[in-house]
Amino acid sequence: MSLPTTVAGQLDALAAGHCQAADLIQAAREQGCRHADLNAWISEVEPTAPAAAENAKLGGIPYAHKDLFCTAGVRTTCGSKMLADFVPPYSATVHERLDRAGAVLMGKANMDEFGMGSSNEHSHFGAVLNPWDRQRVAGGSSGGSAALVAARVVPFATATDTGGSIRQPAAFCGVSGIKPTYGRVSRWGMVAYASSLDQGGVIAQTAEDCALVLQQMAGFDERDSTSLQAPVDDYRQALQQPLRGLRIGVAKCFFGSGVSDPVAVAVNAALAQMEAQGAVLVDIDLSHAELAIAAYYLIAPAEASSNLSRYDGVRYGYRCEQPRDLDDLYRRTRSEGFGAEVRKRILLGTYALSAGYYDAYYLRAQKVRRLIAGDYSRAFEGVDLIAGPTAPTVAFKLGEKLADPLAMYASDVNTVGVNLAGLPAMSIPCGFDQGLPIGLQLIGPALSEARLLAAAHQYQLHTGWHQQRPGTSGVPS
Amino acid sequence: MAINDDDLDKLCFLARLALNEGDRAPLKSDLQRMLGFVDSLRDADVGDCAPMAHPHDSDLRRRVDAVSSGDQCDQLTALAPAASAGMFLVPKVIE
Repeated sequence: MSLPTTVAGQLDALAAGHCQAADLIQAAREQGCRHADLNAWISEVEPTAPAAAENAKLGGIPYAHKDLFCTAGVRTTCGSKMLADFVPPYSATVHERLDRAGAVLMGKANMDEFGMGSSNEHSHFGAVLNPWDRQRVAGGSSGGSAALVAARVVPFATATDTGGSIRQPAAFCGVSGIKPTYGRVSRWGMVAYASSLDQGGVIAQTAEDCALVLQQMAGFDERDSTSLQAPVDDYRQALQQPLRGLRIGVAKCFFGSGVSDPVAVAVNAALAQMEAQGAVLVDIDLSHAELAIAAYYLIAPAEASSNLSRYDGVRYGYRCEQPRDLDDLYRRTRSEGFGAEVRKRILLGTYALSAGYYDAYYLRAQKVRRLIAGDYSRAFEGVDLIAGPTAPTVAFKLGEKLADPLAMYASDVNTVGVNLAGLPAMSIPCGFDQGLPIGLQLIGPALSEARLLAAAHQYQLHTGWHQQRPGTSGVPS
Repeated sequence: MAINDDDLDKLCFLARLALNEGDRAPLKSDLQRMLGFVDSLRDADVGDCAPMAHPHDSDLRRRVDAVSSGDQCDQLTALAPAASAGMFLVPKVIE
């Protein structure tokens, strides 16, 4: 019997007695073996089927963690040589909650080192290949999570998003991903890259699955001082909310230079579909959006340079051999333990924070950040959601942008503004170009996850893009 | 914005990083390009806009100043590359 591959489908099959958790675990393991060449796992674990538990909302569902969620007793590498042997003594709140919900951890997914990358080529453990075309990147930094879901190894994976790291790989791999409002999902035990931007979320095949999983992950956590003390909506119930009357803002800036024609055509077709389902399209202006990349690439590296100062070879993680003195210990540990992209961003952040440049770079970027957030606030006075392409192109070829950091960063052009403003956003599949998936981004005001998930679900009820899987032929209607 | 060797040395000192000779030229070039790119912010009219450090834009919630996780000395020093008697070991800094 063929087992369902979605969270909802697997829960139904378990409830109906058509399969057992052990069958799902075995199927995930076998599918993982078939797709081992994707290099999507950093560590696999030997799972056991959970005993049936009351209120186990995800009981028996296999999943992957992006390898920056701490898992007690299971190594947590952040895709870095620095933490290649790090086994945390505690688990992230996200892990505890999923564990409580009965989900079954299959392993830790590959990622760009400490979340710094847009292609998953900056991992100490090697690049993740795109399941749709193994010559292309899976996107980043949550490339392993997206590839595992796209290849139907696991029905969902956790991921994090600092500047697009859930949405861009979800778009490149043809799956659905939600980056919640900043503070909606606890960051406790989630290794930090840029603390005012980082947010955990979910990658799954469908918006419905994202809703089911996010329901278990979201909520206040007293251990995270930035966790929001706001009630969590019933996401699954909200899925029934129709698109009729929903005002969707369309900003020209999201279709600017760099956005390929096929991507623009597919996204416009998706908008037309939503309009046909009753949504109202409204032109909006996000006048400072073009400054988002520059502001992001000052703020994120500045915060990273501070956060990553903890890796000094003293308390945990990699330590260089035979240091001459303390300064040599620090310098060689950090230079040998961090990869080139991380070293580069630490230096850029150090520059932005250093005396004489702080006002001109970091402080100015923070002021621009407020302008960008203000644009979104004004836009949401007139619309319920904003839509556009997630990424300007489909997945690019491995190595194509490695030598040009600015070209690589440009792939985040439509995603970083959301993080600067702390807003929730989703990417869902909406078409193909040359057999490669295209992502539609939906952005909402703070704490509008239910509205986002509902809009994505309603679109998916009328389209088949999210049901396409690598290796299948034919383009859905 | 030009990055010269002195600038790079100063940054490496501040960030406690050491560079191989072969890494210097490409790194200088990349940093220079990145700084040139972010220089576009100089043209932005920020007026009297207040800097935004955080999406919540409010003070961080404070917790009660009380021990919550107990003594984890053994667990934590077990993670260290070098530890002894409940302390992290580093190269000698005082003669």
